[in-house]
Amino acid sequence: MKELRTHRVDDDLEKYGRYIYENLDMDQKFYESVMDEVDLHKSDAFLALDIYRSFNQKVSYDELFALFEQDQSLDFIRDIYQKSVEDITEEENSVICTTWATAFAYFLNKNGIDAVVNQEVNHAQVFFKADQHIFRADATGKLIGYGEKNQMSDLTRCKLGILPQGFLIYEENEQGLMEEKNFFDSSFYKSSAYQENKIDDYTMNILEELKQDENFYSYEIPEDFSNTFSQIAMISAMLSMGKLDTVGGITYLKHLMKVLIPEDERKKITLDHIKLIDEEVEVLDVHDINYGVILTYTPEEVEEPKCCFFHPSVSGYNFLYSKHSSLLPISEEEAYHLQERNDDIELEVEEHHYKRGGK
Amino acid sequence: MELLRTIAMEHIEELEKKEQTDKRKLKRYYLILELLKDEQCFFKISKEDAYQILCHLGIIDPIKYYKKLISPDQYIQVMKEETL
Repeated sequence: MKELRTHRVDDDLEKYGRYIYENLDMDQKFYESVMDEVDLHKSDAFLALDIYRSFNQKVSYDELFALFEQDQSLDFIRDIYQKSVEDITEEENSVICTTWATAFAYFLNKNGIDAVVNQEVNHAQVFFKADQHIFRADATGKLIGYGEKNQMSDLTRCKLGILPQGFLIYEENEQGLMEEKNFFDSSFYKSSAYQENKIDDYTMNILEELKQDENFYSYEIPEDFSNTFSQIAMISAMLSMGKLDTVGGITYLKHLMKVLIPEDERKKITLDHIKLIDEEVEVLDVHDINYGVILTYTPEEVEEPKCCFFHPSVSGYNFLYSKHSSLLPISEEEAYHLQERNDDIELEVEEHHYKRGGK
Repeated sequence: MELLRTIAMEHIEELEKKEQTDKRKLKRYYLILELLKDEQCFFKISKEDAYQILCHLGIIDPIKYYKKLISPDQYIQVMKEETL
């Protein structure tokens, strides 16, 4: 497959993926809400970028699909997987990679940009041609990944107004070979009339040069003892200001931890992804299940850590992140109970699934 | 940030006035000034590096100053400005 990928503009796009079904009909109100934010006078590449940003701001990653780790042996996860682009509305705006890719290709095609959906292994993304270049767009790829540089998908980044990372261009390098680049690092972008931002790496390059100066690290900085709690409070404030969906909020939480909390302190923090449901619910409906995260900070080593099987310890200071609140302080007992409840929900889902003849 | 840029500029002007100026020091301040042009530089670099920069600019309590620089308001503001 790979040898076909020359990434040249004269490539037939069908080498990269499939065209979407022509007669798809998207909810008109939703389509217009995305296109309202788009400047139609720009060139194709920048028009696609505008659509990319606007569309990503209007959709959220499906909470259940992320929470059940895309387990397609479960019938309700299969339903999500098969959700049609025609079902996306302003109210029902959850997507996964396949719906996202099909819908984005739909937007591009509708605006005269040649685009295909590429689906390999368990992931879908979009390839398109614009302004004599091949592009790759992937807003869901780094969803809950642990990449070195970036932990947030573009669904989250676009909502926060941060530069997207999954809008990529193929460009010839100095050796004449085609290379995939972040659009904002490309010479196409730098030479464009629409250039709008500074390049991220510029700051890091200056810092690298500063570090060459042997006198740069000449000051002794006193240790800041109070910082992890104040940083958790700051993260909580930022999360509530970000106004993100739960999945986006969790990736933002991880990103903020990496930016604000030093590595030594981060090692004392665990994140436990759990399934939440209201205590009053008697009969399980999977759509009542919410995604939550227990953040546990354990400053000192504990001899007998408290936790449920297969869960991290809750000995220390606990905070709950869910769609209902930013980081809410909870006791060890409450955190332990939430872990137990998570396991009960998993068992109930399994039972419910067996009864329906699944697995 | 504006204040920090002014301080860096003052250091540069002072060094340039000297007959036998320390060129390495001058370069350091030019680089710091360049770095500060990026409104969100303190969100991109490590806390340790940020403290050193603030100390070079003569900030007495770099930890306290840094916390103010990366307050939630400031963070959201610079992140939004980037795409305007």
